[in-house]
Amino acid sequence: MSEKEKQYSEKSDITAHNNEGRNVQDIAEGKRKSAGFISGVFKIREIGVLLALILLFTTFSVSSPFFFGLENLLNVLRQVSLLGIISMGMTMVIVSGEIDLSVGAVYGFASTIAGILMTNSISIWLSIILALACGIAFGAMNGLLVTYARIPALIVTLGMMNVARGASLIISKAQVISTNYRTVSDASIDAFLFLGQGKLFGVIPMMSVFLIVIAIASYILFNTTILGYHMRGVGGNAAAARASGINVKIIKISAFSITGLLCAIAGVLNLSFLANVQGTIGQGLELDVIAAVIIGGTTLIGGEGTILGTIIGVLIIGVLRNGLILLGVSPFWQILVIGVVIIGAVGIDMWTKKRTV
Amino acid sequence: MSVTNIKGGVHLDDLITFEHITKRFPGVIALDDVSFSIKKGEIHALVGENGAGKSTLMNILGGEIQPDEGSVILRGKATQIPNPYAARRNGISIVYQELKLCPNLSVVENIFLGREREGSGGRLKIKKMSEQCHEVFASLGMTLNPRTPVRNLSIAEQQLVEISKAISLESDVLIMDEPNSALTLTETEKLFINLIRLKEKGVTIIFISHRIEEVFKISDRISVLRDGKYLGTFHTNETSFDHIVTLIAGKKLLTELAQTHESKTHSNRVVLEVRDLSRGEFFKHITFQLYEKEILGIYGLQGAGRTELLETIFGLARADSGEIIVLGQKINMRSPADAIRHGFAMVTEDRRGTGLFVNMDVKDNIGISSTNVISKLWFMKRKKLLTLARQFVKMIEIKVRSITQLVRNLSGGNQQKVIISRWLATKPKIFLMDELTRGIDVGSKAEIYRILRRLREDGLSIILVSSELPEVLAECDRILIMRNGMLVADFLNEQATKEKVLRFALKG
Repeated sequence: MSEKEKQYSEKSDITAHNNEGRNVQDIAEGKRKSAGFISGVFKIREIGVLLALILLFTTFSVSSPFFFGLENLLNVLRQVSLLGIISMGMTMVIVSGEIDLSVGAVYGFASTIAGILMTNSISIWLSIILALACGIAFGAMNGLLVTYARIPALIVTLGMMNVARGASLIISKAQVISTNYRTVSDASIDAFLFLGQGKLFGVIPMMSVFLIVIAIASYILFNTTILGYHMRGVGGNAAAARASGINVKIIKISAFSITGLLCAIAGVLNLSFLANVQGTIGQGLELDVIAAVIIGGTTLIGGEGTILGTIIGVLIIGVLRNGLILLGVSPFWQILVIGVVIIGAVGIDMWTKKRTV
Repeated sequence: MSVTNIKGGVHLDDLITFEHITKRFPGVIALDDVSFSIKKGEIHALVGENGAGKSTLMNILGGEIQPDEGSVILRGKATQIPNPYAARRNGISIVYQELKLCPNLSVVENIFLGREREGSGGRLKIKKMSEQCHEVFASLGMTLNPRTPVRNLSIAEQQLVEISKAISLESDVLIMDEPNSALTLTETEKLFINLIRLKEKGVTIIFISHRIEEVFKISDRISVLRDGKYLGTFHTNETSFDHIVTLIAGKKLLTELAQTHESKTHSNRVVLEVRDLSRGEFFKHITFQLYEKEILGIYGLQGAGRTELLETIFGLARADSGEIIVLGQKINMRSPADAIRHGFAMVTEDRRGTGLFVNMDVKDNIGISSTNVISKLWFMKRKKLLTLARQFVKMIEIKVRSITQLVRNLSGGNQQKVIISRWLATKPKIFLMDELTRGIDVGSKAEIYRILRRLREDGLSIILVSSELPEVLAECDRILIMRNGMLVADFLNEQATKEKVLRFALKG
């Protein structure tokens, strides 16, 4: 907010208070507002999840000597990068009032097709472009079926999940495909492997760099473009959006397509990171993605959700996993704890909303 | 108007007596000291305009709401009806205008829903229940397979299922709230035959309808309500169509609007021409013209096709045939986006359902239709949006704390102003308004009417669809009347009287 705008909003507050027509609720809210900075902070939508993240952070920092170190924290950031990249797209799909269960399978397919293409003497960069195109195609197909064929997204993407997974297994013949100096003849293989394994300035993992860049791009797209504005409108009230002249179908197809693209980017990054791929990769990833988005405060009915909230949701899952490993907690317990966190996060969210409405 | 046709005191053959029933809702008195009786075994029609209090009275009888004052005397005893279940126990069944059946269940399952006959282990005795259904159907002279899913039935058949349900509950009072608004003529005939059969079996029927001619065909007595007041009960064969319509219309001045229509001469330039427009069952062969700087009212009953007509003009639904011509240019309206591009704007009937974005704040609600103003190359110009929102908040006096307040916390009137602002931001030439002031308090209404007149001054052409006759008469330069999907009359404001308009809207 610029200085000028602040002045304006203060001024308009004063005029509102002088207004005879205001009702009791307005007065009550006005009082609450004047309580100052602290209540202002608590009005930020993401405050609940942010507090949860800080709490987790402090707990693990105190209880494990290994947690609060630059290396470990960068490691957390790398571990959540693929989850985070896909969650950006999922946020847009859910805010638009739909859901995408096919993200794990599309991610797996993009990874597989890129691996197969580059090991069959196709140039690395062309392989990547084709893999990304496949991701967009899967997303667009989801969107078209949901909007034009009017099949519920849950069913379309459940089907697409199986289609993409089956296709990955067919083209890879369920074999592990290695992408290294022996199998890939393209001279750019070093550059390619750097994308997933390298570190910027020798410190920040490249995958984290990708996450940060994509998160910023998503934030810009979601908060400063017409597309983001319309996504919130379409998810909040599709009928009103249509009556307002918004092309609801295009908006939804865009959200699905962006998600498909992001899945493919994550798939290609994973191929680079592991230097191999199997058709089964990414199974169950969709549930982690949805969990991260939901923990971040996005509501499944659509219309409400923020990129910032999702980033915090992704970090909560990452920190939780990392911290529990460092504390030597069994992986089975990790799964259970994440389940509790999902329910708890949404529960707290509902409770705080009820109080403010 | 004095109450002449009813004798004082409770008679032996009075099944239901309303005594001094008063019910207030925020801002309105829905029922004002209503007292009258319904006799056992009669078909008693209840008539009045939209909002006269008919449904409120029946909801009190049905236990849906409680009166603030007064009591219901049932079979000679003052009776409390605290909930719908109590009404049912007292033998009262209501068949609502909107049917309350589960479309996925069969006829028999619907009729016995909540009181199923169970055999051992909780298995349903479908056979036994079906037999009972057959008995009820036979008594009504109808043939219907009890195992058919309700979704496969016509509206008329579904209505008969509701009636059968009421009969199988052994109700002796059957309330029918506009039962034939969705029925065809032959279906209505059938319904009436069934109602008369029920009457012969001793069932008392309270029949709410807007179609006065039909009321005269079926009822024994007619009671009239207007603005929550009871105006009298009349034996059907002792009164006349004209008399009842006069009563419904009333002679009252349009005091709530504080002023009568100022006649304005609009220009002779036609901005919109609708030619022979038809869409399915909703409306047929609609032809009219809208002039520049004109407020054109469209009046008619619920279900007359007004909303559907506006929706079609605005591109929310496709017409089957006919033409929409804007400033001499024929336009193929495929979506609201097309309509907006050609200078249309539309306030929809259902503010929450198809108007507001309750998840968004005031500025976002205002800006959402004018993306060309607030964006450049896909990127939003935040400052432009803020300026736009502030401009309208100030211009049409929307009472908000800040433009980032969520719209869900605003009053109905202010929400409607937000929607009007959204459309004004698109700089429309033709503004379609469907039930512009529904659910809005009197003070805000007056403000909205002021805005309406100002828009006309500024050169807009407006189509105002309304169920409120005083509104139409006070605000519109010309009034079209729709009935059963047809345009039946076209009055200049000077020629229109409440009685005349109602006569055209109600007949048939």
